[in-house]
Amino acid sequence: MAEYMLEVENLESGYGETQVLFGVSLKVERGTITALLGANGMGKSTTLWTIMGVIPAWGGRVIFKGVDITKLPTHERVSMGMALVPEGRRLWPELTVEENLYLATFVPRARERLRENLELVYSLFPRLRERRHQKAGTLSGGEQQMLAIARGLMLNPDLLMLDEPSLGLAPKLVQDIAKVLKRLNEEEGLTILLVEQNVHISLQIADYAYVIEAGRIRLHGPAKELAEKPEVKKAYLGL
Amino acid sequence: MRMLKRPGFIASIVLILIYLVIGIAGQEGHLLSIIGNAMDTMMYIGWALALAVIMSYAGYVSFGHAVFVGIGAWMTAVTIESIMPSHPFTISMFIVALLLGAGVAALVAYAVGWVVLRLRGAYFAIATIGLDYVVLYLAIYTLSRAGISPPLLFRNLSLTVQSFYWMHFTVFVITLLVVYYIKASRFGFGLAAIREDEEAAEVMGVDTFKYKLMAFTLSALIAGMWGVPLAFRHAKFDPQDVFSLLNSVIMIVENTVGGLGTFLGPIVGAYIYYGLYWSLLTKIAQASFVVLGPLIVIIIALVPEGLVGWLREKFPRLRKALE
Repeated sequence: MAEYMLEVENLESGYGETQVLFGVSLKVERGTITALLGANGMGKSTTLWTIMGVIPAWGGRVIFKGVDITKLPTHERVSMGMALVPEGRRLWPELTVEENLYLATFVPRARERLRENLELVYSLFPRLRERRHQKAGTLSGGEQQMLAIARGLMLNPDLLMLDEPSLGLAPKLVQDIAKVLKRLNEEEGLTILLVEQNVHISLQIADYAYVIEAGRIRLHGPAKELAEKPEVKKAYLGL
Repeated sequence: MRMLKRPGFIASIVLILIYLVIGIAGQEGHLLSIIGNAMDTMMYIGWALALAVIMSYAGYVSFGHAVFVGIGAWMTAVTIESIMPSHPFTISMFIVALLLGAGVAALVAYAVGWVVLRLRGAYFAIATIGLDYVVLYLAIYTLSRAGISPPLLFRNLSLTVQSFYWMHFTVFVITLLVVYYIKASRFGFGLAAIREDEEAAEVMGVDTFKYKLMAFTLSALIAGMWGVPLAFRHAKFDPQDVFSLLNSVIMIVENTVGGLGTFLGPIVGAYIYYGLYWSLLTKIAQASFVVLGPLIVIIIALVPEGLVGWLREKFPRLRKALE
């Protein structure tokens, strides 16, 4: 078994003519929470969409569980155990909470553990169980984010990637989400790649962190060490 | 079997029963004109539902969808004149034509879709118009090589109006059941996910290319079937007529007027279109399209979400019933 869940080597990509990533390299160790931090427009989301294969890689490699998946279509990556909770949630607002969860199981690996995972997400987010017959579009922002994470978990992933889960949420809710991620990591052994602007909360739960700037990794190290670095404190923690 | 208790399925069964009764009652001579209208409406619903699979469910507009109806008609000509040239009409002739028409239409769609469905957006729409013209001229060329100047009139099969009716009815039943099943299945939900947000669908593990290709192929298969009763009824294969862009536009109009994304939308749209067309045709004959065109523009401008979509929005309680 490969030591790393995910290895990204010199990844380049972009949209149309515009290059966004200029050789991003990062590694996510099994059973850890890794954070990818950076300000808006630095290429965080692009990194995730390229890892998922929704945006093709222009150069470099993506290795998942020891297998080079750079050329694989997205749904096959999902079948191998990758899941992305996209920014802005992108739920099916017309459908109920439970339908959102049930119907997200297009890949066989998700259907195999449908019942167990439904139980798991309801125990993680009791609010969702209470509101399971309510339309997703009528949920509050925090509940929608919970549902988006829950829907990602229904894919039965080995690696869960989250794009800005704290965006637009009140501090209390951000803490709740952080706790759930930590719990998933510790109790279920889930490997997590967290992309955030909220450096504070990320460094609090992550084991390792990368800082991206203009499509390049600028800094990386264990989260605790990074939190102590003067440049991180100054630029991202507002200290 | 939750699927069988849902309004779309119930509506299908009701429609099937109504047309069954019309077919039986229509044995009486004086009901012949109703039989004609009934055949027309079945066909227009069939066209609308065929296109709905790719346009309304998956969100990809096929602009030249008449090409598949035309292929069905062409294969009917091949069956009658080349494969079974000296047979009197039997059910097996209809079945051979149906299998051939649907099969060839599906194969063509699969091959074309395999190339153009990798591209997003307008390429697909344009490619299907191109396909329609390619097949039209291929048909004309093939006929002229055989020394026939189109249209190709079929030999006399001594068919009655009743036999045309049951051909339409057979294809109608298959269409309703197959399209409803597509809509209500996980596959149909995957198509809806693609229509709403293709990137999000991919991330949820939907094999978007395969889903779109299957939807286009099935959509063509159903349109191909509808070319068969059409050709039998008109007793000819007229390429300029069956491959006409007007037919493609009718299918799009039915879906748009009825409302995208629902099962009932295209059916309602077909009745509205046919109702307008028929009432205008009987009054002002050839000028009908001059009036019909602007009328449809007005309807779409007033209710851009389609009639069923509009009702769903206005009366949220009806949402469940208007699936």
